Amino acid sequence: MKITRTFRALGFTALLGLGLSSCKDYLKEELVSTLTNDYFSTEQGLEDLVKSSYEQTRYKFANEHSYAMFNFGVDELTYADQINFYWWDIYDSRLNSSDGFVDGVWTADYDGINRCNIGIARIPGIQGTTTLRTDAQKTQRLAELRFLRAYYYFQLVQQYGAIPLVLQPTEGVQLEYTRAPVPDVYRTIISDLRFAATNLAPTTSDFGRATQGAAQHYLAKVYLTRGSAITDVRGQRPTDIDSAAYYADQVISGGRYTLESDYAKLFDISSYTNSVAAQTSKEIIFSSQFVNVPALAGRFGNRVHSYFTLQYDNEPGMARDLLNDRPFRRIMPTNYALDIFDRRNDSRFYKMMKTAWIANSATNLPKWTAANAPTPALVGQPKFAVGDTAFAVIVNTPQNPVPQAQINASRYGIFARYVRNAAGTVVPGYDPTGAVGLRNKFPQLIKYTDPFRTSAADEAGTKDGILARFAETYLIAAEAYGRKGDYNKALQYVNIVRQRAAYKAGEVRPNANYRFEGGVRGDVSSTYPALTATQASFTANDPKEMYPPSVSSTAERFIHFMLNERTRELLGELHRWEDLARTETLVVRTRYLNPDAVAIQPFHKLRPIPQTHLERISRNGQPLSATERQAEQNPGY
Amino acid sequence: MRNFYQISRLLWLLPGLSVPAAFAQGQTQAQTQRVTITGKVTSADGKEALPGVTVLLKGTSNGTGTGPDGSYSLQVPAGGGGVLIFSYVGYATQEVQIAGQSVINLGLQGEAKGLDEVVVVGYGSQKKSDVTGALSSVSAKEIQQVQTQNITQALQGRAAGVDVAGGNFRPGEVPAIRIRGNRSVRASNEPLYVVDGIPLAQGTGLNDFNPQDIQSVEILKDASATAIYGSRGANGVVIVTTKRGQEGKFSINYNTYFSADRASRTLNLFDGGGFLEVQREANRANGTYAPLYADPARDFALFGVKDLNAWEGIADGYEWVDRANRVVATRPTTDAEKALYGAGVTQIPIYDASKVRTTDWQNLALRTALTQNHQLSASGGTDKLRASMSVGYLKQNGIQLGQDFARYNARATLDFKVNPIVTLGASTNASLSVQNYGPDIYGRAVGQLPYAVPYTPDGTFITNPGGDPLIFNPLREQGNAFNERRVTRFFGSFYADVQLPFVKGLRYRLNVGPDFRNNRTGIFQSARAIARDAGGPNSVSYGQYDQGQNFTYVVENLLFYDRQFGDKHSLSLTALQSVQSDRGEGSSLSALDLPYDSQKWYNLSSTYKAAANGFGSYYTARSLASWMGRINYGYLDRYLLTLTGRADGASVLAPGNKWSFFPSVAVAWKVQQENFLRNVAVVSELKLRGGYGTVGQASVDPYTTGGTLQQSAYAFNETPAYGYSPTPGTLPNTLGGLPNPNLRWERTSTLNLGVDFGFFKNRITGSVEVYRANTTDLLLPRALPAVSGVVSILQNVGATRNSGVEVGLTTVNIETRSFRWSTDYVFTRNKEEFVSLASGAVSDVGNRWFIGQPLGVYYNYQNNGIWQTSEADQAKVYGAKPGEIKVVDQDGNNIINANDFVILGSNRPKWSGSINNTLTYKAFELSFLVYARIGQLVATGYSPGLGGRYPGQAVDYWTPTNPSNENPRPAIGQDAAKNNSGYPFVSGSFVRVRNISLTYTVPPAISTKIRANNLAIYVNSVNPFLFTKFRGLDPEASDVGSTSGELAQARNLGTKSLIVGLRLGF
Repeated sequence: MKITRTFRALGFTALLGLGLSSCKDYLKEELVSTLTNDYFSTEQGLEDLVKSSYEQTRYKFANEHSYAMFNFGVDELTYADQINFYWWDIYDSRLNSSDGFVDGVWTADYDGINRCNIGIARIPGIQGTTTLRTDAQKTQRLAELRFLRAYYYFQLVQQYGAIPLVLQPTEGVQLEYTRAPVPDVYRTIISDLRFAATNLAPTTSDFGRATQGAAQHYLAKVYLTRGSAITDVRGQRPTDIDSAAYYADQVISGGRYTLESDYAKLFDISSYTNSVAAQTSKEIIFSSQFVNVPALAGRFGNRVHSYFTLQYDNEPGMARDLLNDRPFRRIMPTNYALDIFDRRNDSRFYKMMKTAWIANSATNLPKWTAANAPTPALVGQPKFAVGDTAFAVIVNTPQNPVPQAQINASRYGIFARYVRNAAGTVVPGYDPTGAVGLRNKFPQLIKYTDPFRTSAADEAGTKDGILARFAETYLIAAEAYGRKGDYNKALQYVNIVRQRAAYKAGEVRPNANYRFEGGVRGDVSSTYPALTATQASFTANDPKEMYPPSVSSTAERFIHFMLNERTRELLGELHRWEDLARTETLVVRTRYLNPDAVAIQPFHKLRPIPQTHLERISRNGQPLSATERQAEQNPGY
Repeated sequence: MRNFYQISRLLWLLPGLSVPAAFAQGQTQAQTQRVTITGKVTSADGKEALPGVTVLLKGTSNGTGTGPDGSYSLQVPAGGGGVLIFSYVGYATQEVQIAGQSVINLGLQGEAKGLDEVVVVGYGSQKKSDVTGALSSVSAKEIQQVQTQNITQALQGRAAGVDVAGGNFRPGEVPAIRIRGNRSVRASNEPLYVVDGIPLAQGTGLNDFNPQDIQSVEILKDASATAIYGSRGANGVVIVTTKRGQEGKFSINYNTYFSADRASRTLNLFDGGGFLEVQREANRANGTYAPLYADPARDFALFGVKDLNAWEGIADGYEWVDRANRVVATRPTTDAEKALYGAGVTQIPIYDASKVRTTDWQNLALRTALTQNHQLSASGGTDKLRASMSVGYLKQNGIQLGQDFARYNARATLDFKVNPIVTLGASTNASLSVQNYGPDIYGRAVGQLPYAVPYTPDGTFITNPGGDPLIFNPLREQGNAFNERRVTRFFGSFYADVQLPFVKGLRYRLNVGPDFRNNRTGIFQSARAIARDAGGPNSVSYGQYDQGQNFTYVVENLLFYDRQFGDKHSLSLTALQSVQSDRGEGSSLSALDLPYDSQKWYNLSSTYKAAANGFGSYYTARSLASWMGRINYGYLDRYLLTLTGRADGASVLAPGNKWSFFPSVAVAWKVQQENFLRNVAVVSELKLRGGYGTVGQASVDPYTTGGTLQQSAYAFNETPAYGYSPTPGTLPNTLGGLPNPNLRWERTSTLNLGVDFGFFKNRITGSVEVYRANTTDLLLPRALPAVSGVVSILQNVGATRNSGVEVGLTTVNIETRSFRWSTDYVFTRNKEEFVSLASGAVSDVGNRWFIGQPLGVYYNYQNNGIWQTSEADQAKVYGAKPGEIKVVDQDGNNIINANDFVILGSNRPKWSGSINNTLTYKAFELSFLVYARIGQLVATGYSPGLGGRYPGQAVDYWTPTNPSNENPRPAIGQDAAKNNSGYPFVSGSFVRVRNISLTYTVPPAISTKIRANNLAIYVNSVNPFLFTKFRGLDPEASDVGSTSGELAQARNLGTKSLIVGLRLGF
């Protein structure tokens, strides 16, 4: 019967529907493309967790906080003509707890710490079969994680002061956080780093993983930081400086690191291969890893390359390109940074600064006019061709201004720091202390220049972010010995760095050397004798060292001398704000050497605690009141 | 009334609850000898043929419907006995003894409107008079009144308690719909959509259906109505019923309209002279523009040198002695000017700001866009087989260049009465939609320097008009930046309906609903696209190809039992078992530097880079299993009771918390049936209703309970070193990966009281609802202290309450033989508030959740004007100076920081409402709909930067000589002025005339000459008038958000349309 057949078919279909639901598995979530925390119970999962624990070292280079929180508001750099985040430089009220950078760095560091904490809690219990089989293998990974945890906490404590000290993984919702005193944080950092220094392998086949040398370098730096405290309470001990010297010496005598022979080699971009070679130089002790594969860029890549740029693309003969980068023009050197160099003898200045731009666009080449053509035949001809210099920035002195007439007659554009105008007055051609309009030309720091991105518009830079290099180890050692009064040993180390900094015998100088810096054309003798540091630089008030007036004793001058030397070696490498805060010279140096930062106050030695933190934590199960939040905040904010 | 004709047909398709669905009398009936009765049904005056009237042989399920001309034909057992029941919505049901007649013509008496209206209530339909819950109904006729591109738009202003925010007028985008406010923060607030009985998968929406295929839309609002959808009823349910074939004469209909759209309004931007002065002032504030008057030398150096074409626009403002060599004409200064500019300034350039060139960039970016829509449908049927088919084509061009949307629909429905016991049927919808999302042309156009021009005099395109390297000319983007989104979808609803033997009144029904969706997004940016640096030296092209496939199925087993016990008791039972499963997968691929542009995204492997730029794939699945039971009981047709219970289990919830039970109860009292009211002529209907029920919500993303991991990209030197870490939740719309074994259902319990009424022979009809909905175990993405390592987690915390009043009222103001004027009023007021949070009744500032406030509050600085020169000392306390923004120092501690934030308001309207008037005179019908949303703040995205670089809306700003309190002093370099974060939140209240429509139905005397059954032409003006104080574009935008690359202030570009259309039926 037809109807019976229909019933049979319907019955079957109905059973199908019922059958689907009667099976309990119908509502079970199958993990196909997604992983959950259970993965960290596996050997592979923990290896992947360790790798991910390195990821947040990238955050320092991820965005505009890179310069804003680490290199703004100091003596050596100031804002350029795009002033988007310049309150970090001038210390106005926008530098407050609601600022996104305050929150971003805090969040990234604690994210990194949580990853480390998970691994530190779980690795000892894993029964691996390959990479986490032996105790030695596990200890190596534990040591990496403790190194990274120390790294993240070190950044946090320097920026924010007292902070919650979390050493266990977050298992569920936790809201009751209190700030641990700064000495407790330093003790934890040192404990982690000592574990790492003891247990990390001296070398690694995975370049970028923490090594023993990295732990020793950071131990030296942390001890120096704790021991540099004058009025700050960091839990400093009398032995800190000895410890700093000891661990720096360990790195120096370990034999695994050497300085590049040529400072320029450190930032070589002549090819991607050469750039990779520079990034894996024997001078690099620890760096955050970036590559030119877009899929590995993470969310941001290394974006610092954009920020030190100047405005070149409005100049005749110039268009935006990959090499010259997107002109974010956020940050420029102060006059201090230009003048603290012995630019004649110290090769580092012109090796880290770009001062000439090569024409790359034929569409708007300037032409000679009857008024300025050197010969009448040239009238209407382009002043220069693609591949010639389009414009140059000149770092001269008030004593050696460029005459305006020379600028007018020049084939290419000239932006001199000091120009003598038609009336004979010396006026700025560009000016790090002047109006915004005068800040769009300056010597451009090229340490981050990155032509290996996918396009000129691509912000995701590919070069490693250098966090620790051997030259800094020497300077840490030098500072430690100097603080102990052993100036000879200190200068011995400084001069190792200086020897590399000097022009070597046979080395050709840039034209600016004889045109503006007092050099002699064709001179290729070594400048090391002239560049060798002596105690005279800090036993007396050497004007070349630009000491702030309040600095009076030799011991104090020595600290400032070392800070000057750090600028000369490490300018723009995102250590400066922490160096000045560490030495408690932030206010005195910044006020004296960075006229933009007049509003800086003593409380600015710490960053505000993020508002999000204050608003989200609880006390005894209750959110904080406005008064309680204010009490939990660093003073002044 | 025509629109009800098909609804009534549904009684045959859906489990009938209102019509006594009697069981066919055994299988032998098929062999009984039969005779045919024919006839024609008209209105009582005999003038109007009534199509779709149900004609039923009493005591059987043997019935038919009248065709478009009112005629019918029904086979009845021979013998001449029996009674025919004629029923039609809006008319009194009439019974006629057959008494041996073979032709029965009938004139039906009009009945009080509304009482017998049949509405779909989910898993069945009911007479409106029998409904116990809160629902709103929107008819096909109302949907037709305003031409819309999607069904959601069509509901705007049509139903109390339903808030439809236009939001985005981009072709192909769908407005947000909220029923009785928001209750959930993270979990979705989208209602459940049910199309032809099949609940749609979450997030799929109605955009793929043609509004002209819709028969009716019912919106279930309170828990007693939605509880049958259990876990998914929390946000209300929108039930869409599509048109189906009718028994009777075959008919063909053709509907078409053409529409011309323009911007409903554009921004009031600075003109050339105005912005030039902002730029001068911004430089003055910074010391780089010394003269206080317009100085061509400074103008040229600062604004003109980079683009000589732009300079010519500036130069127009001056009088020249030698324009080519920039020798300007001057005039002596007046004494007043000397006082202002300095005694030494004796001559100044002759300048007239109004002569500076102003390019109307907005006009260049916009166009009058044409939309055309065609729908051809055919339907018909016999007593065994009814079918309908339709094809539709919509092509909508955006008012912005590069934006358009096309949709192709093909639809078929089939109802096949296999035998007296079994009916099979299907409705299917296949659609293809192609949206060209379009580049951000308008947004960039409003950011152009007004004195600059897009082309040089010889027609060469200027990439950066005015020379600013970041202000790109957008006028060729439509040829260089593509974002094409193709969605193909096949949706089907199949059923088998069986009158079960042995038990009288018992019916089984099987519903199966497959839904296949495929979406593809192709993105291509040529090297000249702005996103690729607009053709700069290293510009390379970029192509991206994303595709995803989804398959959803629903299988439902239903049992219905309907019995009338004696005269007094009527009982109907419904039982359901169902499963639903969604599965999705997809992939994405992108490449840079493609050799030729014509390939767009179709040959990515040709990249010069020899490798993909990015690639990925995904998989996701979720399932839901349910049991449901419902009891409808009526006593004396006066007292009605509905009880429902549904149990749902969801895969996305944590083990142990997957299942939950959702009960509801509702009662109604038809007071008009009581003796004491029966003879009160004034009252034609009075029904009191009350309901209480609980519904759930688990629209959370799959895999959130286990604590998800995310892949981290890293490398050791050049070797990839991918890792995994708990998802930190720092990216927008992501959740932190903390394991969350307690995640369970969010539950909403609603108490709803309602009254339905009709007075004066239903000249006034309507309903009033009051309700209170308490949502507990809120699924909240809770922000955590970042110290945890994860910054958010989805948790069941806290409770919200929505309480409100809804009024829907229809009045027939004038009714004569040839003229009728009726008015529909809709009023909604909903208050949404937090009742408790994680720590009890304590506000959670960190998450911006405040007890007593709605979910979406704006919490920011309170503006207090601008620091004036006379307040310089006071300003200094705050580190501010005159001309900067002054905000209220709420705690009075002389520091402006986050402790000075206050609640400024929310984007939820205080109330919304509409008035729709329909005037009919003979063959003419005029209707106009006025719609209002009042009391909400809108985040415009506009906040004064006045940085002298990027132009914007013309505003009054502070200068030393203009002590404005509106906007701060321009200053170079400030993309955002200090403390301006409270600026974007302004009142978005508006009243708009949504629609004016005039329809002329050609009299049958004429239309029959072309053998047409009906012919109507109409003219429709959509959004013709807007009344608002809002100074942005269209205040209807619910929220501009922050994720788009567009200038936020340009996002809510609204349109107004003029439409002409034709409806033709044979």
